[in-house]
Amino acid sequence: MFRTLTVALILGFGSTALTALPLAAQDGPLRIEITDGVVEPMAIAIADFHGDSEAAQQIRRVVADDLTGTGLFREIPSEAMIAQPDSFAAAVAYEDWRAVNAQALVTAEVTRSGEEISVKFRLFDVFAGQPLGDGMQFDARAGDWRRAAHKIADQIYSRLTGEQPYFDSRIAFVQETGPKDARIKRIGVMDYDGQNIRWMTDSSSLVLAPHFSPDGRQLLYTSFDSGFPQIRAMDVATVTSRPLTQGGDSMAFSPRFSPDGRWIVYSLEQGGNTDIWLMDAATGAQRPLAQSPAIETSPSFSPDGKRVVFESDRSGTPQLYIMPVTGGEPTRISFGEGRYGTPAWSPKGDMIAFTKRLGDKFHIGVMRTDGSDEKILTESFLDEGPTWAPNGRVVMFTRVTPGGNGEPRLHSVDITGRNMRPLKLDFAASDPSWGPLLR
Amino acid sequence: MDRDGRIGWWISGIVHTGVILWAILGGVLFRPQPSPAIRTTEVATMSGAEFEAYAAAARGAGPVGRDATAVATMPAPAPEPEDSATAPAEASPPVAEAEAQPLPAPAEPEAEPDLSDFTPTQPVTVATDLPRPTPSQPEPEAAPDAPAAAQPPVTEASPALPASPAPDDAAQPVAPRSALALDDSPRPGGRPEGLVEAYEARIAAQEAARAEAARQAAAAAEAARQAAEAAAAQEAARQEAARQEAERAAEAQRQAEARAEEERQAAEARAAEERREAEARAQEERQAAEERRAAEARAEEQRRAAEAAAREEEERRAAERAEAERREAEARAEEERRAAERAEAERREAEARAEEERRAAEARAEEERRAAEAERQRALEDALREARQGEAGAEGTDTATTGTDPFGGAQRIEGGDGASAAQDPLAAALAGAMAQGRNSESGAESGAPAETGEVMPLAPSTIRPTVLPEPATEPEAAAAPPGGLPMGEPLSLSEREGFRMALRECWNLGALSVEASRMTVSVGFRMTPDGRPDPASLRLAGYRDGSEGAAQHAFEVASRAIRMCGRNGFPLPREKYGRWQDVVVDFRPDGIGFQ
Repeated sequence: MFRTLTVALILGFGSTALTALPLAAQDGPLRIEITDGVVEPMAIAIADFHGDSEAAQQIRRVVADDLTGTGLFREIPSEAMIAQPDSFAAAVAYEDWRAVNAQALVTAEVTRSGEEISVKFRLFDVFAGQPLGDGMQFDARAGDWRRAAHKIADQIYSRLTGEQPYFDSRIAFVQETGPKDARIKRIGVMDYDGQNIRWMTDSSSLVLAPHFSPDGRQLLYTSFDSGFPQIRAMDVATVTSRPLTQGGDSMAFSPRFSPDGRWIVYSLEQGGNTDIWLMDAATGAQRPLAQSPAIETSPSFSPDGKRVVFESDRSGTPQLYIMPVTGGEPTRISFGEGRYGTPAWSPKGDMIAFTKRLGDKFHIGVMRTDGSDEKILTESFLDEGPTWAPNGRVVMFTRVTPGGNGEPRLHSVDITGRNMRPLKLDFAASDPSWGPLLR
Repeated sequence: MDRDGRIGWWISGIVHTGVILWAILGGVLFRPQPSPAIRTTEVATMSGAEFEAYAAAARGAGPVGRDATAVATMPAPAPEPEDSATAPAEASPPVAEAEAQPLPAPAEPEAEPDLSDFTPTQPVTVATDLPRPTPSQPEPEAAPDAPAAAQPPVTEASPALPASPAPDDAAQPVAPRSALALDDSPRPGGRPEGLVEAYEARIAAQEAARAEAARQAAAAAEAARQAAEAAAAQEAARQEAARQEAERAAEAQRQAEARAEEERQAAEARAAEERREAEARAQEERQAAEERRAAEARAEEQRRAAEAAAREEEERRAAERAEAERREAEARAEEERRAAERAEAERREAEARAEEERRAAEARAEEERRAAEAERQRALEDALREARQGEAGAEGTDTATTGTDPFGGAQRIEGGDGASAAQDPLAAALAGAMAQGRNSESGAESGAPAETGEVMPLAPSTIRPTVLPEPATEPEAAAAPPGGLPMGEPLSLSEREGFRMALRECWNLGALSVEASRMTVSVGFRMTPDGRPDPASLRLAGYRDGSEGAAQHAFEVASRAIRMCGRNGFPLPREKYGRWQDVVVDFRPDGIGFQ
C-alpha cells in the first residue's frame, strides 16, 4: 500500500513537472496555435460611387450583388455608415469604418463621356489602414457597364479571397418550354448572373447540351435537325452554325472541346453500341478513343489536355473512368455506392464534378482525380449536369422539381457545400455550360 | 429477453430433451440380453461287473478273466482342450480302433439303440478370428455340442481339433483271448433272462432322469428368463420412474423459469415504467429548464438589448459628439480652406494680373516682332525686287531651299542670281519658319484615328484597365513603443488560452481560398504594453502545405484577425509583458475548406 502510494505521488509530481516545463522554459517569442476560427461572411462596405449618379448607382448595385452572391461577403448597409467619403480622391477615415466593423472598403467613381464610360475604384483593408492592391480604372463602352461592374467585383473578390475571378463570364444553356412530353428547347447565352440573354437557336428543332469552346467564341451542341442527334458548331459572334457529324444511321452527341481547342471529344453510337471518339476540329478527321461493348459517354478533357474522364457501364453499373488521350486502358476512379455520370473536370485540374444516383435521390458531388475525397454537395429529386465556373470554386447544375408540372432550374453551389442558390431566371432552363472569363 | 436469457433457454431445452429421450429409449437400447439356457448332458456309467456280463454275453462264455481285462485296456484318449466343453470325454463313445480285431458277428444282431428321445441340435456358430474357409474347400464339420452320447464317432473330419497321436503298431491292442475261449463255440442259445429288460429299464431310467434334468433345466431357464424379465421390467420401471422424475424436474424448471421470466418481464415493465416516469420527469425538468433558460435568455436578451440600446445611445452620442467635433473641425477646416481658397484666389488673381501683363507684354513683343518681320519681309521683297530689276540674267538662277511642304516637295524661295541663302540668311530663316509652321499644323491634324467599326452583339468588347496612382493617406496613430517592463512569470495555461480564444473569434475562414484553407501560416508581431498589436510589426514568419500566393492571402486574413481583435487590446497580464511582447501565432485551419 505504501509503495503504491509512493509511486503514484512520484508519477503525479513528474507529470506536473513535465507539463510545467514548457511554460517555464519559454525562450523567444510567445507561440500559440489556432486551429479553428469562425466561418461567416466578411463584412464589406461599398461606399456610394461618385460621379454620374444613375450609372454609379447601377454599377454599385451590380458590384454588391456579385460579392454578396458568393456567400462570402456581407454588405454593410449605407445607412449604417458613419460618413461617406467626400470624393474618390479623399483620404479614408479608417476609424469611421472600423466603428461599423467593416473589414474592407470599396470606393469608386464613374465618369461618362459620350458612349464611353470610365469606372475607377480602390479597395482598402480597414483594419490594416492601407489600400489593398492598386486602384484601377476600367474604360468601356457605355453599353458594357455591367461588364465593367463585373470586372470591378472580380478584382475585389480575387484580392479578398485569393481565388481566381469568375463574375465577368457567360453561361450557355437550354431554355425549356411546354409540357414534359412536348418540350420546346432553344439555346441561349447569358451573363453569369442571368442578365443579357441572347438566343442562339430558334425552337424549330430539338437542341441539347451546349458547350463553350475554351476561348468562348464557339458553341458545340447536339441538334436533331436531321432526325438523328448530330453535333454542330456555332460561331457565337455571327450566330451561324455548321454540322460536324453527318452519320445517317449513327448518333453523335455530348461533344466537348480540348483545352487548346484543337480536338473535340464526343460520344458516337453505332449499331447499338456507344463509344468515345476524337475529332480534329480543323480537319474533321475522327478516330475512336475508348471502345468496348459497354456504353461510354459524357467525356471531358483534363485542363492539360492529356487525359479524358468519361462515364461507362462496363463494370455493370455506370461509373467514372480516366484514360490518356493517346489511348490505353481506362482506369476506374469511382467506387462508392450508386451510379456515377456526367463527369466534368475542374479548370484547376484538381477535382472532378459528377452526378450520382443513390437510391431514389440524385446528387452533385466532387472528388479528386484519383477518386478519393468524394464530397456530396447536393441532394434532391433530380440534380444533374454539373459545370465548373472558370475559377474552379463554384459548380452550376440543373435541378428538376418533381411532379407533373416539374421543370428544370439552374442552381449553383460552392464546392465547400455552402451557398447553394438558384439562378434568377423567369423561365425553365437546363444543361448549363460555363464559359471562360472574358477579356 | 436478452441474449444470455435466450442462450440459457436453449441449453436448458437441449438438456431436458436429452434426459427425456434417455428415459424413453435407454431401456430399449441398453437392456441386458437374455443369457442362453444352460445345456446339460446326461452321463451314463457302467460298472465292471456289467461290462463283463456284457462281454460274456457277447462271447457266449463266462466272465472275462483278469489278464484279458488287463490286456484289453483301452489306450488313453488324447487330452481334450479345456474349451471343448461341448464334448465331454466321458460322454464320448469309444473311438473305433483302426486295427481292432473284428468281433464275431453275433447270432442275432444287436438291437438298435432307442434314439427316439434324442433331438439333434444345430451347431452353434461361434465367433472366431480364423480365416473363413473358401467354398472350394470342404466345409469342415462343426464340432457338435449336442449330447455326446448321440454324437457319431469323431473322425478325421474334425480338422479344428488336434489329431490324436497315431497309435504305434507295437502298441496295437491285441484282442485278449481267453484260454477258455472257443473259437468256434456255438452261439448262445439266448440272452440271459432279464438282461434286455434291465437294460431297457436302465435306459428308461436314464431317459427319465435326462428328461427330469431337461425339465429342471427348462424350469431353471424359465426361472432365469422370468427373473431377467422381472429385472428388465424393474429396470424399465426404474427408468420410467427416472424419466417421470426428470419430466417433473423439467416441468418444475420450466415453471420456475416461466415464473422467473414473468418476474423479469414484470421487473422490466416496472423499470420501463419507472424509466418513462423518470424520462417524463426529466422531460418536464428539461422543459422547465428550457423555459427557465428561455426566460433567462429573454431576460438576457432584454438586458443585452437594453445594454445595446444604451451602448448604441452612448455610441450615438459619442458619434454625434464626434460628428459635431468632426463637423466643427470640418467647419474650421472649411473656413481655413476657404481662407486658403481666398488667399489662393488672391494669389491666382495676382497671378492672372501678372499673366495678363505678361501676355500683354508678350502681345506687344509679338506685335513688335511681327512688325519687325513685316519690315524684314518688305526689305526682303524690296531686295528681291531690286535684284530682279537691277541684276537680272547676270549669273543664272540662285535657289534657296528653306524646307519641305506637307506633301514632301521642297519649298523653295527663288532669288535672283547671286542672292543665295548664304548671302541672305534672313530669307532662309523666314522660309524655315514658314515650313515649321506648316509642319506643326500638319502634325496636329494627323492625330490618332478614332475607333471605328461595330462589333457583333455577342463579341465581347475590350475593357481597358489602368492602374491608378497611390491614394491620399491619412496619418494613423503610431504604435506605442514597447516599454521596458520586466519579463515576469511565465504565462499560465488559462492566460494563453484566453489569448488564443480572443484571437480565434476574429479569424474568419469563410473568405479563405480553398488552397489557403488547407495550409498553415505563422504570423509574428510585437505588442504594446496595453496588449495591442503593432501593425507595422506584422510579418509572415513561415508557411507550409501551400503556394506562396496562397500563403500571402492566408497571411492577410490572419493579420486582419490580429488587428481586429487586438484593437482594444488582448487580455494579457501587464506584469508579464516581457513574456508576450513578441508573439508568433500558427494559423492551422483543421477541417476547414470542405464541409
